[in-house]
Amino acid sequence: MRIWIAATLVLAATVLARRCQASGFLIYDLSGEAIGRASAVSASTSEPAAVWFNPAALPFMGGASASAGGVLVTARSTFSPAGGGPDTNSDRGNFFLPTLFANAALSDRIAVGIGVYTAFGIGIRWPGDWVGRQSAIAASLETLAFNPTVAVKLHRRFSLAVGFDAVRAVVDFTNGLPDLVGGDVRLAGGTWGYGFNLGALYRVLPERLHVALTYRSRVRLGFDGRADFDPTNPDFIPALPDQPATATIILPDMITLGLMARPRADLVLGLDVNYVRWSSYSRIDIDFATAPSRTIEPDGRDTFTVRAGADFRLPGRALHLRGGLIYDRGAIPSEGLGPGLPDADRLDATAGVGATRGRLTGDLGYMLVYFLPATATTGREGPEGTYRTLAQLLGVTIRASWP
Amino acid sequence: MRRGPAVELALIVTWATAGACTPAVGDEPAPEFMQWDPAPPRVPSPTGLIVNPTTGLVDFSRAGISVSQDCAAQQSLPEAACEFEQYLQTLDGFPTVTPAAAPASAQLDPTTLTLGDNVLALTASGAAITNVEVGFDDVDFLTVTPTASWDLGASYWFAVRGYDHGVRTMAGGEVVGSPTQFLLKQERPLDCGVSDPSQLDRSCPAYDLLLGQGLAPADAAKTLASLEQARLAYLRAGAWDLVAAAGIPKSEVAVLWGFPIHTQSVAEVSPPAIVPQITAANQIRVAVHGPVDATTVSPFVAKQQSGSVVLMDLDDVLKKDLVNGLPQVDAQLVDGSIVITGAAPFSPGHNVGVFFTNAIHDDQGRPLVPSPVSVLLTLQGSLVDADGNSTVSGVSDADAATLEPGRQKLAGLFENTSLVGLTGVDRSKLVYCFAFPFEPPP
Repeated sequence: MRIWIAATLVLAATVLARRCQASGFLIYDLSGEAIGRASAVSASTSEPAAVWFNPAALPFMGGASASAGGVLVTARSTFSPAGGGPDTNSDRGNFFLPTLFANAALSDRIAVGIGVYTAFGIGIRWPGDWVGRQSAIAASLETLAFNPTVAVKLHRRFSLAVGFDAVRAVVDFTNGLPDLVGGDVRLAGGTWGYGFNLGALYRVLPERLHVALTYRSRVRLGFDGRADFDPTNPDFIPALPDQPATATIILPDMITLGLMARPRADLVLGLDVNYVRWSSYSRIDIDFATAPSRTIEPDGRDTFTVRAGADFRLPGRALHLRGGLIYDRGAIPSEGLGPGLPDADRLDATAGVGATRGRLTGDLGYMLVYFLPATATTGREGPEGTYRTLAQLLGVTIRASWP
Repeated sequence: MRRGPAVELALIVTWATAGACTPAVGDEPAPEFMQWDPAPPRVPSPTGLIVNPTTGLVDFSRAGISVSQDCAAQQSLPEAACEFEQYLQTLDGFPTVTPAAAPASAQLDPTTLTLGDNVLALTASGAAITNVEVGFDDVDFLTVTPTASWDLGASYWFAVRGYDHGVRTMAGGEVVGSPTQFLLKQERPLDCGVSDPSQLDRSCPAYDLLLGQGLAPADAAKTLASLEQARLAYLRAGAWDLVAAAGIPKSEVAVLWGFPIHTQSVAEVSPPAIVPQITAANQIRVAVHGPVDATTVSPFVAKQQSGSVVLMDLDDVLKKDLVNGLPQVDAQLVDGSIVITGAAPFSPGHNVGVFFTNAIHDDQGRPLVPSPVSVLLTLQGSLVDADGNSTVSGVSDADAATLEPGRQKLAGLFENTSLVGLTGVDRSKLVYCFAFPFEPPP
């Protein structure tokens, strides 16, 4: 255990969330099992990660369990300028997002759980001299949520849950300064934000047909940080001193409606729809102490994601095979598209496998995320042109259960 | 010792928090610089950039400053400041005694303000000027003051060397230029050669820069047009070549500015003396800078309402003793000075007022222009505010405090309409005004 914690600490030092799993910069897929099933699990989750997917499932899980793992993300974006010319590639980003979940039944009706995870994040780096350098050279938003929750089984078929979200967030953006000024400005800051979540699970036909409804509230992140101006032109250095800066980002609220059907004892089908209110991400005002304020207007729009997944248990073995498909509508319209968050409609395909031996279960999930080409049309938040992104996720989760 | 769940949880929280630490970003000190900030105004002055090429007159609107026609009614400036700007706008250049001044963001080391090396004062033809004093005042302006006065109709350029080999702050730090000066150094048109502002876009670097400062597109285009005109003015004057030839290459210029001196003659005192010369017990001499038509110099005769020179014994006038208050004098132009000679010695210790009207002309028939000190003494608004600070930009607190009592005394004179008729001392017509206690030479 000590070695495991030490290893996790090392990984945590490099944790960087990455927008690639769901629209905007939401990272919805937080466990190996869920990734294999396209995260269409809100009505059927039975792992500790239910704290994230639907905590109302906790009272039906019984006993206690804990899981640890993470998601390895690799992604790269390419920009093709509208007027022609060579493409620009972002650096390939490789990120590991660790997760910890635990749950325990306090009684036959009441269960508690806690999760520590990254559900929102941005991480992208472009060449320092590229055409869109004034809009973004590097953009990073790291979040880490602490999410205790309690769930109550009100009826043998129905449960409710409520949770509290404390989100630690850190931004670290680097943008190029205007050509006559040269150099760049780096803005870094941290903050805490708070929210809550609700969950409901209705087992219409227990273990055969379930319906789930969850809600996660907005979280306001008011960053207090510093701006490090580094102009190469000395005449601009006095006018752009390093200084305090503030900015506010509002993480969107989200409603999920889920359905689970088990047509056979060894086959679980899931269908989830997330409705994410990205309209909260419409405008970001970055206020500097003395330098001119900057406004980013991504014009985020409310959007939805449709997830369909399946879990098939091989006959006679504690081995599961999984697969799924996702359609994820982009949160940023073409007018507000920029290189800091080159969002797009996405098509995802997932596959996974899980095995149980004794108290231990291991799950492995893989997701291929294909971003449909997204064209920035106005030049307002970055150069006009088309972004193309391809990402892959590999999720691994180990969990232990006690009756 | 067995670790319990609470310890495990604490470790988890520690891990999680460690993974989300705020990056430490730099907090590097910025160098000091020669300022050129329009708001609040910290700009090199005076500047020929505000001389209107159409009218040939100083025009503050070219700097975006509107000077009210009714200084008593406006609120944006102290009344005296407004009146003084009205005066400047009557000139086709700047007063001959105006020091050249450039603000800095910090006090500069005076030992580095070396004339001819780090600080240049040049004529429009590039000749170095040596009869100036370079200083640094208490409001962080580098000043170049003529030991006599600037020549009428001449233009001057001033440059300060910055960066690695230039002037230094008191702490020994480097001094750089300003963004405005950087733009004026550009070789290419700031507006990218676009004649129609609506065609500007962010591919034009200077326009992009201004938009990045938060300016609206229309305001950015307007500012860009002004800057481009200024840049062209520097090029047309060959200013960069002048200072380069004098030893400061363009890349080392932290600030460069220049201005013309008005062309009309002016009755003034030669700095640093601030009173007319008393050459005999009954004689006062006032230097005039520039040619004067001698026939226009004559004592004022109340009966005929003619003449251009008035001398008053202010003590007697204020006692309503106009016989002794308006002593009989003669006035003539002698060796470029107006010499006022009384029929009898003037009263020692009495305050004497010397006034010239705009009936005195130069050799081209143009009236003399008022000297700045004369204007200050005739203003209707106070020269100092409630805190004792000067209300007029460019006039030091000390000078304002010195002149204010005289202005107040003279105001009583100017506002007495019956006295104006008898003496000819009409505020609006005065080109010279000075009051001082008369002490005959030994």
